[in-house]
Amino acid sequence: MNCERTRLLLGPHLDRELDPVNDRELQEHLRDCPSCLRAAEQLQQLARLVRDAAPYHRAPAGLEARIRASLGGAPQGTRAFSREGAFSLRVGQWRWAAALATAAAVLLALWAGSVVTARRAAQDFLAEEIVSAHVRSLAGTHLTDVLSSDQHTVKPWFDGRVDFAPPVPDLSADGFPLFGGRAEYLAGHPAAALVFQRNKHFINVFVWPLASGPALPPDLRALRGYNFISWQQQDLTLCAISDLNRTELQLFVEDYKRQ
Amino acid sequence: MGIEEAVSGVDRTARFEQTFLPHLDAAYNLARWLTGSAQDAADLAQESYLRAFEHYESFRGDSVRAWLLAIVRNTCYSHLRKSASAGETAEFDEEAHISQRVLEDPETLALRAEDRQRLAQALEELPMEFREVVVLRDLEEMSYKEIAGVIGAPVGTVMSRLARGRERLRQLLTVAAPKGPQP
Repeated sequence: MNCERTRLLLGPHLDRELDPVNDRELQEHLRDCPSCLRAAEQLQQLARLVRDAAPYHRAPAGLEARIRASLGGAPQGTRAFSREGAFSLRVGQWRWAAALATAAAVLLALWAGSVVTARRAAQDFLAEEIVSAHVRSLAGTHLTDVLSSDQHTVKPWFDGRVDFAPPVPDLSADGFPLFGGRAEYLAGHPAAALVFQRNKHFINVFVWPLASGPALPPDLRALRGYNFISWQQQDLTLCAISDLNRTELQLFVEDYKRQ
Repeated sequence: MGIEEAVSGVDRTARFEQTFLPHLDAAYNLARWLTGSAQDAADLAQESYLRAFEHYESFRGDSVRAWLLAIVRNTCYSHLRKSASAGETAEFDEEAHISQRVLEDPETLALRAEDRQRLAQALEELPMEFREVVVLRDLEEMSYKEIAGVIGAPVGTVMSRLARGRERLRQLLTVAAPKGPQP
């Protein structure tokens, strides 16, 4: 590959949008051409700069409520019924019932608080361990034991290594290609780790049986800069973690559950 | 209105909200970058959601976000066309930027890059057709294919606009530096 063509394809290469054949040729050229390599570094730096330093304007507080209101949705749930008097009344009664139920729930929560606190501490500890496992997998050379984007290669690999079959969906059409898998230990229990990709981000999905592994209820949180979503599916606990933004990770989990 | 009709209306709204509201930040961010105004961005994002809601049934694609952002983009463009003032649509003076000194040293770029203000300003100065692809790629992290869907152009166009956009951005950043951040 010559310099001219290399410069043309640098962007797609850095954005991971280049086909494997061209990508390999381009990388070979970069190895031999300091000037193109320099251009590549500059471009990468610029893209990283925009990504990290340009402001991402999040929607202001209240905009979501405004939109919901204009759609006639949740906060104004009575709107669709309000044209019929009888319904409005019933909706009003519902509100009272809901308020009472909330008050009861708060009391119950206060009473159960102490039990919950202890359980929480164990879960936080587990969450920390999951973050560490994620960071370790990316920092070291051990991201995958089996490197394949083919679910039919990765899934059978776990046979005999863990005593359950982790769900390995094909999410490449949703923009989350499979990258590979590896065996992990979490809180002393064997777990399967599946690695997916979203552009330049990696997502680790840890899977272990509900019955024999550590307890982790469905949750969504940010921890040490990583987003973290746990859920239960069949008789398994699953936990996705990544530096992806929250919305995309939620989408990933939705797609994962769907398959 | 019958009960069933009312209930299915509520269902439809709930389904729409569940599918589309997770992308509110993306919608607002794009509108904000295209219009440069927080107030306009909020109004246009809201308008876009209403339009999306109206045409919800026609959504067939695989990327909710790309479909929504295409609507946001159209809404913003027609708004800008209506209220086009001379300042907003000023042509980008390529010669003026290229003729100046262009620093080649990536380290210089990195050092200066700490000035977020200047970066944001440079991005705002990019012509719209370049600004939108850079925002969609580097801030929204969309694939070329998704971006092509948003701007209604082939992937090749996305690729070339992105290349030219980044090159101009680099020039703006390396050239504007000696002047220091503008007030």
